Amino acid sequence: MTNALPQAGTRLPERNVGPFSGGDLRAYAEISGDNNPLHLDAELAQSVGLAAPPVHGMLLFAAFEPILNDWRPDLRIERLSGRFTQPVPSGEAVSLSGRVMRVSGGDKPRILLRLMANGASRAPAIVGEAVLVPREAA
Amino acid sequence: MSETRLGPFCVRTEPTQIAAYRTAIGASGDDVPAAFPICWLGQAEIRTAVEAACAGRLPLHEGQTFDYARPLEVGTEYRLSLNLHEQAHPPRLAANAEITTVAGEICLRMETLLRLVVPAALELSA
Repeated sequence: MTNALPQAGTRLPERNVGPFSGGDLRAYAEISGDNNPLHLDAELAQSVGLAAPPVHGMLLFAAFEPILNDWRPDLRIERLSGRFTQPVPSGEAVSLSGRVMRVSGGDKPRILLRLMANGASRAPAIVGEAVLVPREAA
Repeated sequence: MSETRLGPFCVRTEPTQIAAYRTAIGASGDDVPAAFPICWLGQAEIRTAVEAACAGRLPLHEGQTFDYARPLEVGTEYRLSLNLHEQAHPPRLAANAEITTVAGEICLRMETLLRLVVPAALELSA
């Protein structure tokens, strides 16, 4: 059975992630291998004007995937791309949102989504896009 | 500007690491998360190569792209070839990785864009 494709303009259910603690960042650093001291050293973060170490951009960016999977488990990610435009200090919650921008049909449908992550300042922390395809077309 | 080609390196979708990664990003299911291959840049020999290219500067992650030709499978070995492309103005390092099966079939192209700064020159806008 084939599910109907989403329509352009459809919004993903918005989801809040975090706030991430220093322990969360250390755990992610250990799992991912990204132990850039800026994410782990409060003194270094403060020395560059950040109130707290910034959350790894990839920790926030990867959190879009569960949202996409929960929204449409019949689709899989073919492309995931993002620009990390603003640091999000640890201790701050982030709102993840998305919207279907374009749907192409045919033998191999593709769904293009715009993705946004916004911190407390509401300025975009991540601007990205995802392309989803039906799992059966993989 | 300089360009360095490295690899191929042997990488794996280790089930225990995949499970830990899923937990960290709040994911469930049985798939390899699309963003998981970023962890391979932390693998010792790959990380050493990237750190050498950073030459003492702090890398700030500016952008990331994953382009899949086919999904990865859990518990499988792959080959990762890396192309490090350094730009001078402003200093940036683009790490372009190509992940293939052991037989050489393309699975994924991954681009990691790093802004390189010296700590004293870090700015909030970086």
